Parts: sequence; structure tokens; C-alpha cells
Amino acid sequence: MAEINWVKDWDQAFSQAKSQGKKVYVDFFKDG
Amino acid sequence: MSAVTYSTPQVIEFFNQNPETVPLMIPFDTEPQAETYGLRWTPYLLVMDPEGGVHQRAIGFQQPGDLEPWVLMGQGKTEFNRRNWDAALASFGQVVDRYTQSFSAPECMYYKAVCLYRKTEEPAHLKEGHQRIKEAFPDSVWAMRTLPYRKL
Repeated sequence: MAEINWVKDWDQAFSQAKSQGKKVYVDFFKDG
Repeated sequence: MSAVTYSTPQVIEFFNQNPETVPLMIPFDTEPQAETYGLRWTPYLLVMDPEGGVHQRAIGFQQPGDLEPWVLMGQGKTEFNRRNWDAALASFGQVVDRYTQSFSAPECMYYKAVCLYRKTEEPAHLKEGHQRIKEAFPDSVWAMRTLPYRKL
């Protein structure tokens, strides 16, 4: 089953966004 | 969010094919970010620029069909705050054109009108924005916020 290709590390997400000129969508999740 | 919204094919496709946004999912107790960015409840959603600026935030569940335009609106606000009117218009326009009945639609109609005005300095865009919002979403707060533009 397809899933969203989440980045799960803060620094990695922002580094990727900066190098690619993107924004970051952040979900602070809590299960249950 | 994971059980419903993030499991929906249209939402998966939206994020995986979105050329403008990196999706980041982290636990609610991740510090110092949770405190730094004001988390007090979940779901807690942000749209941020790569330098750490927050351009949109929301608390609470978002359903499929409403999350996607909400993210697009955040992308648009990020460009709006950078004074990149064309890029902002592209995002707001997607919401106005594709997600016509979403909760974000009237707000994006507002921002679209403002962007067009900022780009052209033609007040008619503001008046037209009010007219369109009033017709499509007469009870929305954005119909009220554009009331002064009816006299332009």
C-alpha cells in the first residue's frame, strides 16, 4: 500500500527544503 | 490523521507529488522544537520556510479534501510574505480553482485578490475579490473582511 514519503528527522527535512527551495509541512503527531 | 487523512490515496498523491513542500512527521514531544514552536495540543500542523519561519499553523484534525488546500494555502502565504506575488498566486489559485468548497477556499480568494492588487496596484481586484467571496461564501469571515473593498 502506498504511503506518504515522510521525512522523520527535523534537520534532514529543513536541509532538504533549503537545498531544494521548498517549504516544510510539519506534523507533530501523537498516536492514540 | 494517520488512520484517515494520511491513508487516503488523494492525500498520499498530493504529498508525494508536491514539488514545493517536504513532509515532516515527528513525535509531539520532540524538543526543543515542540516548545519553540508553541505546541500545546495535537494534531499540531505547521507550514514553514527552510529558515524556520512559520507561515501557517493549525490545531486539530483535517479531513481529506481540506488538508491539501490548507497546505497549498500555507505555501501561498510563505510566498506572499516574501512578496513573491506570482508564486503566491499560483498556490492560492490552485485552491480557488480545484478545492472550491474547502474550508480554505474563501481565505485563498481573499489572498488572491490582495496578491493581484499588490502585483498591479489596480484596486478593482480587491472589489472583485469581495464580490466573488460574497457570492460563494457570504457567511464567511472573509466576506466581512473585504466589505470595505465594495466601495472601491
